[in-house]
Amino acid sequence: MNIATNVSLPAQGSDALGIEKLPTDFYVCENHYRSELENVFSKCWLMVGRETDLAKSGDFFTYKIDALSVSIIVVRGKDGIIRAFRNACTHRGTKIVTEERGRLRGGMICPYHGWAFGLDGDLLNVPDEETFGCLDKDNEGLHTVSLDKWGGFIFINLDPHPQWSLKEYLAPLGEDLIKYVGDEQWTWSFGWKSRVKSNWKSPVDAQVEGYHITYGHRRTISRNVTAETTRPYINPGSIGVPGGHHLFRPEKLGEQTPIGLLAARYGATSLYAEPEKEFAANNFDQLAFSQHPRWILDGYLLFPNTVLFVQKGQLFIQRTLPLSPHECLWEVDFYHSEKPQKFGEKFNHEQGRIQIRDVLSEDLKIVEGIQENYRSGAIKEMNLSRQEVIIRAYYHSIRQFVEEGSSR
Amino acid sequence: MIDLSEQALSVVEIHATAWGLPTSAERVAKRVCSTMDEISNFYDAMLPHMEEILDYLNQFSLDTIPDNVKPIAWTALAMCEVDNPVRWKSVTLSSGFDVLGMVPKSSFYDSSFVA
Repeated sequence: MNIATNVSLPAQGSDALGIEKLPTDFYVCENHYRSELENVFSKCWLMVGRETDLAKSGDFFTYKIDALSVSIIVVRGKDGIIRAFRNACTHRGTKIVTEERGRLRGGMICPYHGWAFGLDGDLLNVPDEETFGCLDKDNEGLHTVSLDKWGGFIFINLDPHPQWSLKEYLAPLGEDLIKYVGDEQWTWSFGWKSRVKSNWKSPVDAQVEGYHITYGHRRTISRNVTAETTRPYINPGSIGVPGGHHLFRPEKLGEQTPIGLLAARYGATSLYAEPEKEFAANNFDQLAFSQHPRWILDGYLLFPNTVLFVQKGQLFIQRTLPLSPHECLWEVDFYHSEKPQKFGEKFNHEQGRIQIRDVLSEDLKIVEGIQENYRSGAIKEMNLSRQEVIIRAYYHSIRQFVEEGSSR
Repeated sequence: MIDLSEQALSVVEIHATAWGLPTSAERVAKRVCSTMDEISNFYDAMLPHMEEILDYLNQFSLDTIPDNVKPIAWTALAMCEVDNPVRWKSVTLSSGFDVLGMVPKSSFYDSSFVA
C-alpha cells in the first residue's frame, strides 16, 4: 500500500463515463422499479448485520425487504456457522420468528403447529408426523439464503446462485480495509431511521457526490469540507463497488463554534473539526489516506443501497430500501472502535452525531423535492458534472442489472 | 476531586430543570419546541462554563457518574443540540428534513417503522 502523506489530493472525478445527460425516469417509473426489485434487490449482495452481534450459538436477527415481502432469519448454529434462511415454516409458510433479534434456545419452533427446526435449518420434529401422507422431512428444512461475510459485516443474497462471490463483488475495497473494518472492537452505538418520500437511490446519490456540499450544506459542514476537497473516483468494471470518494479538510478551516472546538478535544468523531485525540485502531495506519494531514474519511458505494463511511474511530453506514418508486426506508448506523470512558468522549460523540444528523436532514429534504420534480415530469433528464461521476457509474450498474433482467 | 465553582453550579442548576434530559431524543424534542430566546438564554448562560463543566465531569468514569451529577452531564450534552440553532439564529433549519422524523434506532436491526 502506497501511503499518502503529502498534500497532493487525487483527481476531482472524471469524464470517463461520458458527459451526456441521464434520464430521470429510473427514479419514478413503475416498470423500472419492479425490475429493480426483481433484478437488483433479488440478485445483489445486501449488508444485513454484523458477525459480532451473533456471538453465541442461537443468536439471531431478522432482515426484511417489505417491497418484496421478504423476511430472513440469520442465525449462528451450534457448529458456529452463521446461516440465513427464509423466515418461513415449510409446513404452511408461517413466520417462525417475529422479533428483530434474540437468542433461540436449541432450535426454531414454528408458532402455528410446532414444527421444529435445528439452528442449521434441518426439520427435526413434526407433531403428529404420522398424519402426513408422504412427508419427507429430509427435504423440508428451512429454505437457505446465500450468505457471506466481509470485514465483519454479514451480507445476504436472495439469488440462490449469486453471479459473484461476495469477495469478488467487494474486491475493490482491498485487504487493508477488511482488517480495519473487520476489527471486532467496532460496536454499534447509535442510529436513525425514517421514511423518506424519495426513490431509494436518491439518498445514495446524496452521499456519493460532494459537488453539493459547498452550497447545499452551507449552513452546516461547508466551513470544513467543500466540493473542492471531496475527491470522487470510480471503479470501472466493478459491480459491487461502483465508486467512492475521499473527503479532506480544506487547507484553512472555516470558523468553528466553541462547542465544536470543545468536542474536538476529546475525539475524532466530530467529522469536520481537526481532532486532537489520537486513536489506536487496528490497521488504521494502512488506509490509503489515513496519514494525510487533511484526511477526514473515505466513502464507498456498496451497490445497490449502502454507503459505508470509514474514518478514524468511527464507521457510519447509510442504507435504503424501497417502499415504492417514490418512498424508501432510510437508515443510518454508527459504529465506534472505542467505547467512551469519560464524559468528554461522550460529548464528542454527541456533538459529531448531531452535526451529521443536521447534514443528513438537509440531504433528505433535498431528495424529497427532487422526487416531486421527477414524478411530475418537470425534469426528465439530469446534468452531471465530473464531480458526480459516481452517480453515472451507479446509473450504469443499475441499468446493467435491469437490462440483463429484461433480456432473460 | 475538584468541585464545580459555585458560579458554574448555579448556572447549571437553573437550566438543568428544562434542559437536563437523559436522552438525545428528549433533548432534540426540547430544542424543537423551544423558542429562539429560550435557546439563546440557555446557550449564553452555559457557554462560559462549559470547559469547567467538562473538566469536572471528566473526573468520573462515564459508567459511574453519580445520580445527582447526571443532570449536569445531560445539560452539557444539550449544548451540542442547541449549537447549530444558535449559529443559524433559528430553532430549526428551513432547508432541513424534520429532525423528529429521524427516529432513533435501538440497534442495527431496528428497521421496522411505526408511522
